[in-house]
Amino acid sequence: MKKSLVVVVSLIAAFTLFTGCDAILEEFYPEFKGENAFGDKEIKVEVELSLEFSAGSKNIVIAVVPIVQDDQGNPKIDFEGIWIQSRWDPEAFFIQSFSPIKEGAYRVFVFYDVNDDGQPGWDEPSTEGSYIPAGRLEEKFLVDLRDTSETTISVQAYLSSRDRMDVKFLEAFAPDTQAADYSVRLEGPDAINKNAPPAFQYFINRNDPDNTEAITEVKWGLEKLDRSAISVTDATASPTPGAQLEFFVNFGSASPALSTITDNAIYVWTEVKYGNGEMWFTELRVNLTTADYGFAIQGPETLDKNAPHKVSYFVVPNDPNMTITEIWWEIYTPHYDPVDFSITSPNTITAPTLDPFDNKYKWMIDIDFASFNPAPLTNYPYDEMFIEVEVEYGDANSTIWFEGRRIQFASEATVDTYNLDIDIMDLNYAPVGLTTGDLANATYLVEIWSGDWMTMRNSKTGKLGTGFGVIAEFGGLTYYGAGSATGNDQAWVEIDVDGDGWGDWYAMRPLVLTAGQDFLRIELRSFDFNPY
Amino acid sequence: MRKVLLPLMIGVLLALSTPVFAEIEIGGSFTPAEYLLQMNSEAQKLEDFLGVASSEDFDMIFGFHIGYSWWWLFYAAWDSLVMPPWWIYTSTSAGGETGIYRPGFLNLIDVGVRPTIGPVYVLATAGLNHMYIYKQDDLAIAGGELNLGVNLRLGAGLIFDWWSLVVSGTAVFGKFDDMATVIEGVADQNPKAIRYLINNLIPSVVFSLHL
Repeated sequence: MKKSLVVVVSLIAAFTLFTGCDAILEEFYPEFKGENAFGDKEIKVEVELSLEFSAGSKNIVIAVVPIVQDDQGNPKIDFEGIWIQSRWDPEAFFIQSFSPIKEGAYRVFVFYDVNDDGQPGWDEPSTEGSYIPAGRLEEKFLVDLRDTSETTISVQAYLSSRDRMDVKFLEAFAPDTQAADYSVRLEGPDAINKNAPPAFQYFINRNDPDNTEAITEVKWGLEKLDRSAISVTDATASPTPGAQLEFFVNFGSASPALSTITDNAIYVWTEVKYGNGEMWFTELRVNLTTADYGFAIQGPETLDKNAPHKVSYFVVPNDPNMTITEIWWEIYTPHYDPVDFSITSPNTITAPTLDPFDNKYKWMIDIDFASFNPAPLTNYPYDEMFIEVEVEYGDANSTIWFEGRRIQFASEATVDTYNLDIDIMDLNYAPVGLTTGDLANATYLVEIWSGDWMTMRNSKTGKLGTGFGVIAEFGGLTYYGAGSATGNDQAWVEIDVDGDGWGDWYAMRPLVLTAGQDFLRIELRSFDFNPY
Repeated sequence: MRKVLLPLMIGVLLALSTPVFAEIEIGGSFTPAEYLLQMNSEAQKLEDFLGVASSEDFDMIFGFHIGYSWWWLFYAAWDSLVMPPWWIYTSTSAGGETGIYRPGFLNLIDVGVRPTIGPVYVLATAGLNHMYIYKQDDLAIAGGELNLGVNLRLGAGLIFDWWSLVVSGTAVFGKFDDMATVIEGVADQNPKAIRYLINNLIPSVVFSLHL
């Protein structure tokens, strides 16, 4: 009995040992069962290294991370399915293949493991005072093998000195982890008219509102698709940590000129460094087009916090032939917290408003700064606000466009002073029912603008205190800054008769001020009446 | 010389011809996968890379066990462990070549001694190991080669009337030279060698039925 058992067991052993027993393995790992268990696919990661990585002994790590769905359908990492491979002292260009690989979605990571600890991130060498970059993450590295019938999928990775990756990015796929998300997003126009490059502002915003770690360093730049740098002479040097992170770029000052770039896009990139050493790199691909999707926010840039009043901002496309279909706007503090006003236009505006002044439909954003909550506006702890506007065009090819404007609060104490007369004229054309008493109780708003409607130099509000045919004279209207107004400057006048906070009469008059002049006169006529 | 050789030959003949002194055992082994993960440098890298613990994703590795003991002292065993894909993958990754992400068998064939004192016994064996990868014939790299490594095993257990329970640790080496170098290093109390030994140790609990 025992001898026969030995023979049987020995035969089974020999068979299993030398031929294997796939059926047993399939019972333990059913996901490998079936004809296409492995798929017949291969991911080839083509890695190109910049000079500083291809010289000397460097450990470059390539990881292919499968992304699966949990029970709730949220993406998460398949920890058991991760493929990782290291290349020590690699060539400047090499290909790392992963195969055979199963159907599914994968993220591919390439990073320089500075201290050979297997972790991407920021490794601080003991002999140098600066950080050394470690890796990068790009959306294009998201490979979904289910989307293609190709058996070999190539992924190009370029690792350069400014590439950054933070290990925290992975936590976005691990719902159980509670660590802060240090990622930021870059918001701004994602298309530029290459033949008439405009100036744009880009905003760097945190993705995680709970991430309150101080940002201590911010860099940004432009690159062509081949990763060569594009320089600009007219731009913000670097955003200021602690404030709303934004930078201004005049693409017209780019070198090489955008019009000479044959690629259909460029990159705008930024990287931020937090006080705790965490880093984040992100970039925005900006298409180069011949259509101009840009727009301007016209409205006051400077307001008196002590005399808040209603202000209208106008959203105007750079190209008058472009048709806006919707705008969204918001006012933020320097720390990107929304500012609360009781009286404003809706944040989403889907139709333009008829401007009675010139009888044209305009995309107007009305904000009553006097309705700041909690009032008064002097409670507002900063000396600036930011209005951010997104614009959607009717063009099916367009995307959302962003533009921002800083609103500064300043004091009138140190600026030039003029007196202003408002002359209520043409009484015979006054609206029916409007009485002298009405005007006597009316409030006025006067704003002095530079001619391009981009800068409001000063504003003043008060009670008119008089009626028809009387010159309403008051002093104290001021200019900010030295010098006189030019012929391009204009005065905008609103008279609120019914006390609803919105102007019933509008007027805009050009201003020409000369040295020594101590008053302005604006004639307000009946046809300036706003029937709405 | 003859004085030694003659009893040895008689002993071998007796061993082979007297199964009454021999015993077969069949059972299963259980190895904590988490331990292998922790000790596996590449897998460890992964966990560090991810920055999260993933122990809950791994459980026991099962193995088939067949043993043969004879003459109270001698012992031979074949263990076939069902290794997870990540272990096969990291074990087959070398020199910049990508590993093979498939499950497989790690076959351990050992011969040694297993003296029994009452219900307690200890074992010390040495032998060969061989890795079979799922659907190996499909793989170009296999090429029909029989790649053998070597292993050392130490263990202790309790044996009862018809069953036994053993705790053992098997150090697995890719080739004999590796083992020789490590053993030499361990003898010299070289910390690197000791660490290598620990890292390549497969701890198991074996439950066997005795026929």
